[in-house]
Amino acid sequence: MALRFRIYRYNPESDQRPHIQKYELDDDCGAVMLLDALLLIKEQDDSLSFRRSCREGVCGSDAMNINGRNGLACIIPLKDLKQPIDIRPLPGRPVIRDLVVDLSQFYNQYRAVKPWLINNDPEPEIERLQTPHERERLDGLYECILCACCSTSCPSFWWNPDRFLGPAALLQAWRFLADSRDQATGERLDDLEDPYRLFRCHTIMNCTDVCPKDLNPARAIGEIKQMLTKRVL
Amino acid sequence: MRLRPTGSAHTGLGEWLLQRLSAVYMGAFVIYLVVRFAIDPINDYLVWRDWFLAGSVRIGFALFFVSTLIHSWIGMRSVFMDYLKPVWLRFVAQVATGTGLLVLTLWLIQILLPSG
Repeated sequence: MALRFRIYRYNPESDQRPHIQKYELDDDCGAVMLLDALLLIKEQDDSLSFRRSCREGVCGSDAMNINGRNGLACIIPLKDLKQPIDIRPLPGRPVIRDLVVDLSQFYNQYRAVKPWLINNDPEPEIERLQTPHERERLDGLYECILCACCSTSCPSFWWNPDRFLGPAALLQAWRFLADSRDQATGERLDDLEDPYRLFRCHTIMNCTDVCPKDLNPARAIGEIKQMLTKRVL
Repeated sequence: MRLRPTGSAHTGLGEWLLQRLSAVYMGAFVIYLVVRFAIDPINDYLVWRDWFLAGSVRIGFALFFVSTLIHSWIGMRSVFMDYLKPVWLRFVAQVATGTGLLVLTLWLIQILLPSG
């Protein structure tokens, strides 16, 4: 039996509209993960475009929509997928070509939360110390690889990608709010109080459902809301 | 001085909190009504009227309807903010919703104020 694929193809420079192209691979082609299969398909048809780099779920480049669900092609075993395997670009983002999407807006939203430590104390000689408990609070937050699986599966981000920060950026916002060494908590919270940047989240939880690193952006968003609430009480 | 983005910069948190608080009150009040009528059903109009006209019951209902109005205003506004992109359309939708809710509010005052 052959492995069957239905892959979204679109080259905005030459195609009027996107179309679905079918591909087949032999069952004994040796591919284990979906990315292996895509690389074999690319040997058949080198016009197929997609991003990939580390092939072990660390770089986040090969995020795509696989059988209707966002994920990383390199860590999804072929045997877990129902055939024919439908592969599309991440939803809601402009397609540059085939499975390659433009993530500029996603990165802009990430940048908007100032994802770096803001601390105005003079730099210590070695490092800024944290207790083991303070350090533990960052677990499940710093591991994000910015693959965009969460934000591009979030309906609120589909409707307002320019104004709603999206789950990935909000997870990072919480990562720095939760950091005992950060001194900009007030300003960070001020920036999240308006009706759009944080509060477009309606706890749909697609983000947590699809995260390939098993992180929980929905909980991080809840923590930010709690922190904002405590501040006004 | 820190500059905030223009528009209703602070309202996100306030609306979110109000929506939750109004939901909690509505939920609690509905449970109270269900329990109250399960224990002691009222089958007579005059008994019903006396019960309803008692000050505490009327305040309870007034709070319930105010919560419903607030909850529906925030909820509808939220839906408009998500889905209606043209500003004129959102404006029309919000004015229509606001007018509808205002009519309901006035009607509610008529019902809840003791007559004659």
